[in-house]
Amino acid sequence: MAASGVVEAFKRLSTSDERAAALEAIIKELNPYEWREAFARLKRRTFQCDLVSSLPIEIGIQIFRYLDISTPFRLQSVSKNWRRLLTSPDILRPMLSTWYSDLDRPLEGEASLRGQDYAVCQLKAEHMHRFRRGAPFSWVRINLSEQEPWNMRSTMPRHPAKVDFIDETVAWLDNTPESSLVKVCNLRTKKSLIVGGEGRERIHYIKLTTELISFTTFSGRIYACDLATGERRSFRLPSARSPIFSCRGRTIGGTIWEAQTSEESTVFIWNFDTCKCQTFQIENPRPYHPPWGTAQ
Amino acid sequence: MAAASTSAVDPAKKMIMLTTSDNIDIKVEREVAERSILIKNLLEDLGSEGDEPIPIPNVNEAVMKKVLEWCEQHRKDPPATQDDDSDSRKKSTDIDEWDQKFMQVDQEMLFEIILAANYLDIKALLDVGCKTVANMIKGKSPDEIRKTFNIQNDFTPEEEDQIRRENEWAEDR
Repeated sequence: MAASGVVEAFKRLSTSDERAAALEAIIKELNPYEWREAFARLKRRTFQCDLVSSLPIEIGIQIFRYLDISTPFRLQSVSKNWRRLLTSPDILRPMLSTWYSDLDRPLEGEASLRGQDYAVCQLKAEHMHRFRRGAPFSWVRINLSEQEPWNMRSTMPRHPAKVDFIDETVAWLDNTPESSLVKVCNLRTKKSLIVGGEGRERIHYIKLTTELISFTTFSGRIYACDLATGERRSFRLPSARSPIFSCRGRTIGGTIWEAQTSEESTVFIWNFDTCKCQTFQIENPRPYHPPWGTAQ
Repeated sequence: MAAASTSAVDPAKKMIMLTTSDNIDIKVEREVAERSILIKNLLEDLGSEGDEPIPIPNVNEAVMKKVLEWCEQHRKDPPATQDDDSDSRKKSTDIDEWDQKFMQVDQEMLFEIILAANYLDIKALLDVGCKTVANMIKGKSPDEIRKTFNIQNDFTPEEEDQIRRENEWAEDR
């Protein structure tokens, strides 16, 4: 048949240029009726394809890393192929790694799902989804003093922090007129600790580390309490003035702010375990004069 | 501009030849082709003057031309840093305007561009492709997804209902 001869000849064309030229020539031969027929057929070709389940999984992983953690769960009902892909921990784990690290302590109920990778991914995803929507599984309300504006992780030594947090633990100065208690709560385990000074004296400001909660009181003492054991220790500062202090691990260091005119300041370093306090003097920086300065 | 002697030509501007899967030779400036880490490594390994055509058996002419169009536009981009991946929390699906226009192709072409970018190891193009697909998925219901990608729902109504119920928590946004 002549028609099959034309098709065979077309198939034999080896380059895209030749094929394009042949097509161009055929198009020129079409009458309007054939044009309508061809047009109708071409319109049916959509060029759609199931991109997501046809691409290699490592590309699927990349695509879903751009999407919200609830998306793979919401779209499981698209088709069996999608469900297979979207229940795969290979897709879910990289998405979760945005929000969870391997160092995180297990979520409530996670331990009982050991070995069930998908169930663990789902639990973590649901926790994060609810958290991001503002409807977490559980929450703690912290009442902070309303009169005093407080600074989170204040870096300004003159603005004492009334709230501090590290990892999953938060500490805050109790909202009582006396401000004599510090509360510490681990948001994951709900383990909490309430600690105050010996004479329930007013607390000045607080500092939290992964191991200690420390605070100064207006009686000139610095207290520290071990978060794990609840043991409280304290030391007296060499001056009743309120110090600027910080804490790293189990060591507290700080300085006692003397008058602006004073040439030296006292620095102290105290370790919770040894209970030893070292002090030494440092020279105060001279008042700053810009180099282009004003007349002295 | 006539290249009188090879030594006078800027090596980045030197033309190299790529042979596509459908046996077409494409001439392209070395700097443009080297957006592809695969081609860059091949050129370095071959160590030649780049006179031999480089076979690219997994990419056809139409897709290769499209990919090289992207490479041409992005020839001066700084190389991608390895730690771009690390903080995915700030991953956004924003795509710059030129790339958006470039990606306005049908799904089969998009599919092939992504595969080619993956094979040729052009990370930035692969990212743009993945973002484009992510944007096609974003905010759509399962039914809208089926319409978008022309997918047959192969679940029975009971199965579909069961899956919906399992994942109800993920519904409300």
